[in-house]
Amino acid sequence: MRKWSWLVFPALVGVMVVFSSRWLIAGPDQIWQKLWLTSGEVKTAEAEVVKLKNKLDILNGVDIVGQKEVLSRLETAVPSQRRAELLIWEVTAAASESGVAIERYGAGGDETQQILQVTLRTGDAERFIDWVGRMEKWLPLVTLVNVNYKEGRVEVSLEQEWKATVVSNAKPEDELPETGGRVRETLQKLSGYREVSSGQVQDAGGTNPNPF
Amino acid sequence: MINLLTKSEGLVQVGQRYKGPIHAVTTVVAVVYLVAVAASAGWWVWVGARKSAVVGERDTLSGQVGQLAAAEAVVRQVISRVDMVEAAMAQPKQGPVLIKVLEEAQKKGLQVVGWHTGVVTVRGSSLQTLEKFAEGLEVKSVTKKSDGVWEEAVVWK
Repeated sequence: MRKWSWLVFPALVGVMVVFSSRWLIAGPDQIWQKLWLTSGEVKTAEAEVVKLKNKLDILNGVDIVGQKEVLSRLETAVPSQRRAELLIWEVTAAASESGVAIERYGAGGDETQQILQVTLRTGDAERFIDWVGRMEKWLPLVTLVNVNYKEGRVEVSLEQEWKATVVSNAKPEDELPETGGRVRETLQKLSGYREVSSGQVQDAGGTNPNPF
Repeated sequence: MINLLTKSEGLVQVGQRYKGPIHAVTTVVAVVYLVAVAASAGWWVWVGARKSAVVGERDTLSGQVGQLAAAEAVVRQVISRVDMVEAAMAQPKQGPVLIKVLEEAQKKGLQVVGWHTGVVTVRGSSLQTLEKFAEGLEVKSVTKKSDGVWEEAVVWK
């Protein structure tokens, strides 16, 4: 029996490998699989840390007062509330500057749009076209739809978008959208437009909620 | 009588012959296996420590970002408003088109008398001039009025 004692070492190693490999690889614990998964979780968390650091850097550099001024400027183009008086003021001011007469107008709209149906009387097409050009250069922005001009009489629908400012429900891990470049570009474009000030609207007589 | 002793001694001799290589292979397997197990244990400890450190850092940063929620809200409002303004500015403009129509009509001595959904109506005394104005465009109608003046409706592109 002593002559076979050298087999004890290989047998022990074999038994150790077989039993512990079940624990490491194939058994219910599957330690190596858990290690693999945990490593993946660490990588994901590291990526989130990088994102959060970048976001934090950006947010630390945000000038809240300045951003509110930018928001206010943008809201002159697309208001955060329905402002029928602004649209009426734009129509009358453009009409006065172009020398066209307003025959009548009717205001309407929905949750996101202010609509104004306008009938104008103009001596010639030049004045009508001048009025269109002026209308399209006002802030808040106006879209002219269904422009119908026939021998000195113009019927047109004006649409003005508005949308209430919504408080963001973003989570900390949500990425911040790109800001600087687009904002500057948009503000630059807006500089070519004319703005209706609240003072002008009040001077002109204020709001007429139901012109008819 | 069966000689079991001789057969047993034969097996022992075979065993002794393979004892050296089997021990060597077993030792290599044992060493490799133990190194792998030790490395796994080390990896386990390192990954566990790294996970708790990274998750802790992430939670701290999330908290700091949460404290700047007011700044984030205003930035998101600005971006959202920029989207709306860009969409509103992208709406087709009628002014530049109408100015072009007017210029073309005036160049040819025609009078613009109508405009409706891209169809321009011009008036002139010469049919040839109206034909020139409509070159490359779709003519909807040509009418001679009672006063002898021609009127033409053209789809403007």
